[in-house]
Amino acid sequence: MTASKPGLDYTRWLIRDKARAAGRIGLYRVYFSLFYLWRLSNFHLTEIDDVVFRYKRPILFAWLPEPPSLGMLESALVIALVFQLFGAFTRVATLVVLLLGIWYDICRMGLTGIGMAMFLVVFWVPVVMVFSDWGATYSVDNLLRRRTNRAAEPGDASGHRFWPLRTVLICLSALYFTAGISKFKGNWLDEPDFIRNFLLSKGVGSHLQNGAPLNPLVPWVASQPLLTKSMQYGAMIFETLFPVAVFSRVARGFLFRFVPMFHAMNTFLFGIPVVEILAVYGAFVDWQALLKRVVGGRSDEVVRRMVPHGVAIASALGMIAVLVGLLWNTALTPRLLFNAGGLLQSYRIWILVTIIALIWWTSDIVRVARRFAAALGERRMQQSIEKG
Amino acid sequence: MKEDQLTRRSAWTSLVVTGFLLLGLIISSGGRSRWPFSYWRMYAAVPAKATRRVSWPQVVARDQEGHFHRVWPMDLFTLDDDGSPQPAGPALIRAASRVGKRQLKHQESLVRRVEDVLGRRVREVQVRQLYWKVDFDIHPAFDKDRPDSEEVLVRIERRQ
Repeated sequence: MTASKPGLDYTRWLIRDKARAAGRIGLYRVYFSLFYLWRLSNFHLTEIDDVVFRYKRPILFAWLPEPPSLGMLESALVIALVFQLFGAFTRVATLVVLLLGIWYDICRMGLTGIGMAMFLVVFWVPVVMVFSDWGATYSVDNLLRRRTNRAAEPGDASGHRFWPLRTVLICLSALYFTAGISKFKGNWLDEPDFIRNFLLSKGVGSHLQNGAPLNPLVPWVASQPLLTKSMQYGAMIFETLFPVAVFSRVARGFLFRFVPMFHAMNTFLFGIPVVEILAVYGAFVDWQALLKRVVGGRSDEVVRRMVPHGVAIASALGMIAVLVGLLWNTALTPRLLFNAGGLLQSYRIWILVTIIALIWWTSDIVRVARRFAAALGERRMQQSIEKG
Repeated sequence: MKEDQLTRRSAWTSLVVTGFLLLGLIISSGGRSRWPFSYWRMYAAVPAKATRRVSWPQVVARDQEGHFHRVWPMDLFTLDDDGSPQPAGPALIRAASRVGKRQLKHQESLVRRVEDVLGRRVREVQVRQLYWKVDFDIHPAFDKDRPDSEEVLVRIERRQ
């Protein structure tokens, strides 16, 4: 018997089969593209033209020229994103989204400085998905492949479809780990009242800087040493130990339940809504199971009916993609569609996520309680039988 | 392509992509300028002192009809995402207030942005610095719209 090589084991884990892999990643493409379009719908890149000062660019992209037209760059990125959303020429569309997205964000940084939130959206997810086949399901590509019987089914569990989502998890873990160790190196351990003071000063700062509402609970939370110490060490432990999620299913389950609350707390207490993290968390939701629960087998039926009209549908969606991009900076702008007329803002999204997380927690607690009650009932019955 | 061929190819691709990204993070040593291979520092080191007094700039514009409009720095640009510290607005206001060789250009930029935000032409733009005392024993700890004091840093007449 030969000893297995750790590297090989790890590769096997990356490409291990996963239930509903093809459907999950296909629906994640839809979610991610919609999220990206929502984020862009709030930004007006042409504002840069009004301003003469520029912040320093990241070293790797210092060579990147200014685009011939900021408006054109914006439109081209949107067109590529809508192609990606529809899953039409998905791999090419994803590559264009990656390249134009980076260019877009580099331009944006000229005005805002180097940001550490949008890089999850413009770089970390697309750079992995360029190598994936996330256009294999729920896509125009799928419709066209069906004509030659080469299309994947959403229930396909092949691991070669799922590895990109595992790679995204590894990258996210690595980023969290860097956040954790940075806190050890920073002043989180040096200042005894760190969180107390940070809570008070950051809440006030955020109120002025980004309009975050002043939370009436903050002074009370800040005055409770048990809460502030828990937040201080809890954040450090959570971030540093996040890579455990890669190796342990139990840890993954626990951390994914904790994550929405962690970020919601950052939003409501500190005024730091890193909403871009939700673009990554979408990768770990079983969208395929959710879709089946909501629509049953009807989605398959709809796809079957569309197959004979594949080319016509592809052409129509392609035209819609171009139209959305061209109208992006006009008076009748599709931006309003993606940000729900300005209603979809980070704070509101976190309120929604918190409610969903609370429902998730409650359903978990109810399930565990039911199992416990059933086990207890069974044990009592056995005892009574033994006594009888 | 056959299933086992696909699996073999995916095994290599997954290793190369994952390895490349992790290696990028490791060798970059994580500085912000190394974007996108920067460490996610997330407020690792912040000056942590409880605030008792805060100060923030604001732009006050007088339109053609003589009406005054107050504009917060965060409203000057949409390009800052709605959760960040939003440095762009304050940076432009600082640049327009600071005496220097490009001050005039920054002032023109500021006027253009203010007009764009208000959707009307203005006659004069003032940059003001507002000051508040913060009292955490009451809620709200301070009222953003009612500063304790304010000073005019610079007045910019719109060039016709």
